[in-house]
Amino acid sequence: MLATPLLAPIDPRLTLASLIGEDGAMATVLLVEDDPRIRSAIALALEREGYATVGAVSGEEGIAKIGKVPIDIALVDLTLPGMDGLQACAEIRAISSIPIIIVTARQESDDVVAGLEAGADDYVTKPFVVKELAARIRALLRRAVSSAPDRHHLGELTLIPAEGALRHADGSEVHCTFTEFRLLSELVAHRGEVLSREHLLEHVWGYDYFGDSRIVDVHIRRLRTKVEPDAANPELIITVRGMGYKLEGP
Amino acid sequence: MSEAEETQVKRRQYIASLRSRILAAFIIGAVLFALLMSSISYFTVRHFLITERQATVLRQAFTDAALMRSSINQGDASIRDQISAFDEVDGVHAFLLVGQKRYRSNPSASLSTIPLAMRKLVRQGNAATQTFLVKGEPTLGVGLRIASAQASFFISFSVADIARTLRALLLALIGVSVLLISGAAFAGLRAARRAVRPLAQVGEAASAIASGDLSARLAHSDDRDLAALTDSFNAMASELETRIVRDAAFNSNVAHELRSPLTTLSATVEILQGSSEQLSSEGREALELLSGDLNRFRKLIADLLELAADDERSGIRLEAVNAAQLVRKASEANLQQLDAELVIAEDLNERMMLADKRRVERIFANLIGNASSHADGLLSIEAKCLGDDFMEIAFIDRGPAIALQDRARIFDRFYRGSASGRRADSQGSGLGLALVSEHVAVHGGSVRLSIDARGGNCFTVMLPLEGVLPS
Repeated sequence: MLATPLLAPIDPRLTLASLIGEDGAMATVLLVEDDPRIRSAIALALEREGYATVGAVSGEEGIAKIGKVPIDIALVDLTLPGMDGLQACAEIRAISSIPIIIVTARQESDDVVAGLEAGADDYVTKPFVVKELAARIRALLRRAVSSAPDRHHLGELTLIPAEGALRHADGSEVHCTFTEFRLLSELVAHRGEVLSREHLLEHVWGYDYFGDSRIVDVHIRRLRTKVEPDAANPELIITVRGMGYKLEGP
Repeated sequence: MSEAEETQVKRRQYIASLRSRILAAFIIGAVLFALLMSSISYFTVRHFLITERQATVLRQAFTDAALMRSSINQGDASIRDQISAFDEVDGVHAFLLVGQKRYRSNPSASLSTIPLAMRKLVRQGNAATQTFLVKGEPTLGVGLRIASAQASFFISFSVADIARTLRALLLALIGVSVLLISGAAFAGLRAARRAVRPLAQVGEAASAIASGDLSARLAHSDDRDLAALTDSFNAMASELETRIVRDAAFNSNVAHELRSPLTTLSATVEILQGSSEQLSSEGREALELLSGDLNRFRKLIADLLELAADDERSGIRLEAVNAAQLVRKASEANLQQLDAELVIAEDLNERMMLADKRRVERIFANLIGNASSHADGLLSIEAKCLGDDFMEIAFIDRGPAIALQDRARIFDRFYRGSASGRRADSQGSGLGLALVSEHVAVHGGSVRLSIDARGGNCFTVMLPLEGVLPS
C-alpha cells in the first residue's frame, strides 16, 4: 500500500482530462535535472514539441512543485545532488500517480531496474533525442483503452474502466498509476490469452519489438502486489515461461 | 598457432605431468629400497646358514675320520661296518679310499659325485670342503686325509634344507617388496594429489576471475611454501579487482560526463533544425554539418560504451525469443529504405533462442548499414537452421568485394580499410563491425566474411539456437 501522503494527492485524472480534452491543452512536464544547461535545452525542445515545462534543480524541489503546480508527467535524472533520483521517484510515487520517466547515463546498469522498482514508468538514456522523449511522453499520457464499459472482476477487486478505477468489494479504491491501470486494462481486454512482453511493450508503452522487457517485468511485479492476494504465488496474473503473461479467466 | 605456442605444445607432450613425476619418484625410490634391503637380508642369512652348517659338518667329519682310522687298523670287515653306518642318516654319503680299495656307505652312492679337484687336493694331504650339486640337490662335501693309513675320507651332506629355507626367505622378501612398492605407489599418488591440489585451486580461482568473478580468492594456507603462493595470488587478484573496479567507475564517469553535454547539444541542435527556415543559407549549411557530426559523435560514444559493456560482459539480457520472429523484426527495423530480399527458412519458425534482442538488432543495423555505406547496398538477408543447434544468417551485399588485404582485419576496432573501398560520405565510427563481432561473441556465436558467388560480400552470422518452441 502507499505510504500516508505528505501532501494531499492530486487527482491525476483531472489534469489528464485537461490534457486530452477536446481543446488539446498542453500537458506539463516536470524536469528534475540539476544541470541548468541540459534543463534549459530540454525545456526549449519540449516546448517546441508542444509541452509546457516546469524545472526543478533537485528532488526536493520537484516534489514541492508537484504539490503546487498541476503536473502531468515527471522526467527525473537519476544522478541528482542531495536526494538521489531513485529516492525522488519513490517520493513522487508516494504522493502522485503521474507517469515518471527516469533519465540514466547507463542503460546497462542496474539503475534502470532500481528506478523502475522505485516507481518509474519508463526510462530514457542520455544522450537522447528530444523527439524520442516526446514520443515516450505521448505514449505514457495516452488514456487507457476503455472500450467496454462493464465491470471486470479480478478476485476480490473490480476494475471499472469507465471510472478508471480499481475497487475493493467494500468500495475503497486501490491506488494504481496510469501505466499500471493501462497494463491491467490490456490484460483484461485479452483475458485468458497469453500476451507476450513485446505485445505489452507495444500496446502499453508504445515500444516496438526491441523495447526493454524489464519494464514489463517490473510493472507486472508491482501490479501483482496490488491485485494478487499473495504476490509471491500469483493466481491472477500468471507468468507463462518463454511466452509472456496471462490474466486468468473469470 | 604461433611458433612459441607450437613448441610449448610439443614440450608438453614430452614432459610428463607433475603428478606422474611425483608418483614415478615414489615408485623408483621404493623399488631401489626394496632391492637393497632384500639383497642385504638374503645374502646375510645365506652366509650365516652356510658357514654355520660348514662348521658343524667339518666337526662331524673330523670325528668320523678318527673313527675310520681305528676301523682301518682293525681290518676290512670293520671298515665296511663302520662306513655302512652312514647309510642310516638321510642325505649323507661317505667314501673311504685306502690304497686301491674303495668303500662306500651305500651301493647307490657314487664317488664321481665328489669333484675331481677336491679328490686331488685331499690326496695331496689337504683337508677340503666344497659345495656342489648331486642330482640337482645342493650338497656340501668334506674331504680329509687320514695320513697314518694313507687313506682319503670323503663325506657329503645334502644341504637341500638350507636351499629350501633360502627359497622361502626369497619368496617372503619378494612379497614384502611388492607390498612395499604398492604402498609407496599409493602414498605417491596421495602425495602427488596433495601437491597438485593447491595448483588446481589456483587454476580454479584464476578461471573464476577470468570469467568475471573478481572476488574469487584462495583460502589462506598454513603451509609456509604454499602460503607464499596463495598470498601473492590473492594480492594479485585484489590488485586486479581494484583496477577493474576503478576502470569501470572511470568508464561510467566518462560516460556520464560525455553524455550530459551531448544531451544539451543534441536538444539545442533539434531546436535549431526546427527553425532552420529562419537561418541564412550559410547558417543552414553549417547547421547540417553540425547535426551530421553530432549524430556521428553520439553514435561513436554509444558504440564505445557498448564495446566496453561487451568487454565486461555486463548488461547482457538474454531472453527466450522466437528465432524467425527475431530475424524478421531485426530486419524490418533496419530495412525500410533498402531494396533487399529477406528469406527466412521455414524450419526457423518453430525454433527458440536465447538472445539479447537489442544486441541482435545492433548486429543487423551495423551489417545492413555497412552494406549501404561500403558497398552498393544489400542484396539479401538469408536465415536458416544450421544443423540442430545453430542459426545461420547471411547478409549478402551488391559489392564491390572487400579487398583481400582488408578482409582479415575488417572486424578490428577502428579499422576502416584501404582508401579505395571507402566512401566519401561514410559516417561510420570504425567500430560497427567490431561491435558485430563482440555482440555475436556475447551470444556464443561467430561471424565471418566471404565472397558471394554474385561478386558481393557475404557476412555470415552464426547464433546458437535453443530447443523447439513449446506448443
